[in-house]
Amino acid sequence: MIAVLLAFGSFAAAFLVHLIVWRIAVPAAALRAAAAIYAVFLVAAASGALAWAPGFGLDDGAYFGVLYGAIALCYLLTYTGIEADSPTLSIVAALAKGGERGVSAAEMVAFIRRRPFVRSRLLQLYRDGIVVERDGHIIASPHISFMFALSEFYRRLMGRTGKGG
Amino acid sequence: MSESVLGLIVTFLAIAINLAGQLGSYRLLGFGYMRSVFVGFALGGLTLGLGELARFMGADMAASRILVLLAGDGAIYVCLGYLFFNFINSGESSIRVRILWELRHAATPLDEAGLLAIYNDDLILSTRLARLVRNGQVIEREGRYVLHSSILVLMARIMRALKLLIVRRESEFD
Repeated sequence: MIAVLLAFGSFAAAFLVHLIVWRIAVPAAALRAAAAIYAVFLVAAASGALAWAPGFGLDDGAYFGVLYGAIALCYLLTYTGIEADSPTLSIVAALAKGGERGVSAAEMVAFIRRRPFVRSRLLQLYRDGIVVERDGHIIASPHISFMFALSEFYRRLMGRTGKGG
Repeated sequence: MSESVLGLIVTFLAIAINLAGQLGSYRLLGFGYMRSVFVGFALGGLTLGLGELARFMGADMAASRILVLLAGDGAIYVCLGYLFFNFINSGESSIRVRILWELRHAATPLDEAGLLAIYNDDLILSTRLARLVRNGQVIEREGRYVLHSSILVLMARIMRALKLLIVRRESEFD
């Protein structure tokens, strides 16, 4: 039981620290900084509990790690949507403003032209080192091949051949 | 076996059923993409519920303790389910994954202009509007698009509130 309470408590504490830091100033490498905060709390809470909490064994440590890790990863994933706009939700917000009258196709095109999503994500890929520029060309780093291959593999398993995006 | 290990076994089994349910209902039963995601999640949830019932029925344990353990297992299942959905959905709607796909599958290395010629914001708009119309969340009427989903409006509002709370701006383009 202590593993559950420790995971919820540690995540709440990490979120509070993250929120305070971000309210002062959002760090340049924001996602990495946020991930570092949550990782520090994971290690500190697990080490502290293993050292001092009576009856807290390795199995509890594993449960704590899985629960805390799952919550933190969920939050970090959501954070990417907080940091960068979702095109679908941006479109929804624009359509909501149109009310019952709606929004014309031309107005939607004008709306999206003010939001260069592809360029923004390309810059993020550069910043995170996932792509590099070589001789004026964009080259994908070989380090991302596993996750990318896994995503492609699952799409093939599902039999989905469209490009997505 | 300790309660922590039992909890992990039950939740991982539920996630495995979630994954198999999603894939099976999509491939074998011909369900739509989103429907298969919901079916997988529901089947995994049912597995979790039955597993927890078997685990705690007749157990000599305080109700408060059982509730805390259920909250922990439930949180792991919901979070892993959310991560799984985002993983499969990244292939469907992630701009970054699509950029990487285009870079990997191009016959010759692309520069920025070349990339934007085949994948750009107009294409994102048309793809997503078509998807929203297909799902009945947006209605196309006399050349105008009208929103028809209160859930999407709620999601957009929650995301806007989180943006204002955490990064203190409404949009990355502000």
